[in-house]
Amino acid sequence: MPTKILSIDDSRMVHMVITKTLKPFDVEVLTAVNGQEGIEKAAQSVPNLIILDATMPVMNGIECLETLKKHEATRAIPVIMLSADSGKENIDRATQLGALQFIPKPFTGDALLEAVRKYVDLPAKAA
Amino acid sequence: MHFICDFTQKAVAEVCSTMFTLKATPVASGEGLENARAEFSGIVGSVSFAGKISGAVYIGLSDALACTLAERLLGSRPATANSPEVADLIGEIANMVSGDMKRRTAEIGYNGLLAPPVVMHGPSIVVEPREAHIAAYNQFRIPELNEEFGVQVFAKLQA
Repeated sequence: MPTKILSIDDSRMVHMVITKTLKPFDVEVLTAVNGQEGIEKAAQSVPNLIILDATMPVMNGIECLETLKKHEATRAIPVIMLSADSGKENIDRATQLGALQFIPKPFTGDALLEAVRKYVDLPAKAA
Repeated sequence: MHFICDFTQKAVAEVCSTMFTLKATPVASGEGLENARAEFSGIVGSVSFAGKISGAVYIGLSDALACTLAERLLGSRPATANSPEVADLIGEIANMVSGDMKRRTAEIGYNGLLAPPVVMHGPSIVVEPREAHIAAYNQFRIPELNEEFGVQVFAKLQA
């Protein structure tokens, strides 16, 4: 079974960059475009890792993280924040709520891979 | 140079370099409310911010440059600049530039909150300040692509 990573971001471009970065690996990238949808998908699919944006419509990343950490089914899923809003206040709040790492946007594929590898295995795709 | 202008230049350089491995050099800039009206043709990404500093950032690119950046990042060229992928890309660029500027302004005591980006497309998009104290325009050149684009910022600082 491939590693499942859930990207919660209102930008499809970010989903595409994450998918492209993880393409060489046996990873299934799931996507959600706001915090509310992200919580639903996280509860349904229980991914191995969540990559979460902070600024989103409907429900922002901080509210989403707070909810994920409250629910039994999603509490243990590691969360990395990936956000343009990388002010100290935002980073502190996310860390306080249980985010393991904060990657500021703009980001490189290498920075993303380095962070992801800390929390999940990234096996290469079978030839 | 006003710090808004300086921060705009640093933020744009950072986003272009990190996301697209492109150098964006400021080739012209202007400050002051007298000539603060800016007109863009093509696609414009905008992010508003509120708090100790309030206002908006507008980034205007030609259709061709927007498609080239999308191709550079995603590997395939969109058929038209008037597509959801391009709109999404320009919104995200505006978001990243605004986020970088927000971090820098917070470091000197002007914190703010960012709104999700808004994207507009058309032959003549005019932006004008309402209650801004500061207006800063920067024109950037990407030598590798032989293309230019503009960034207009309106801001109001709270005492």
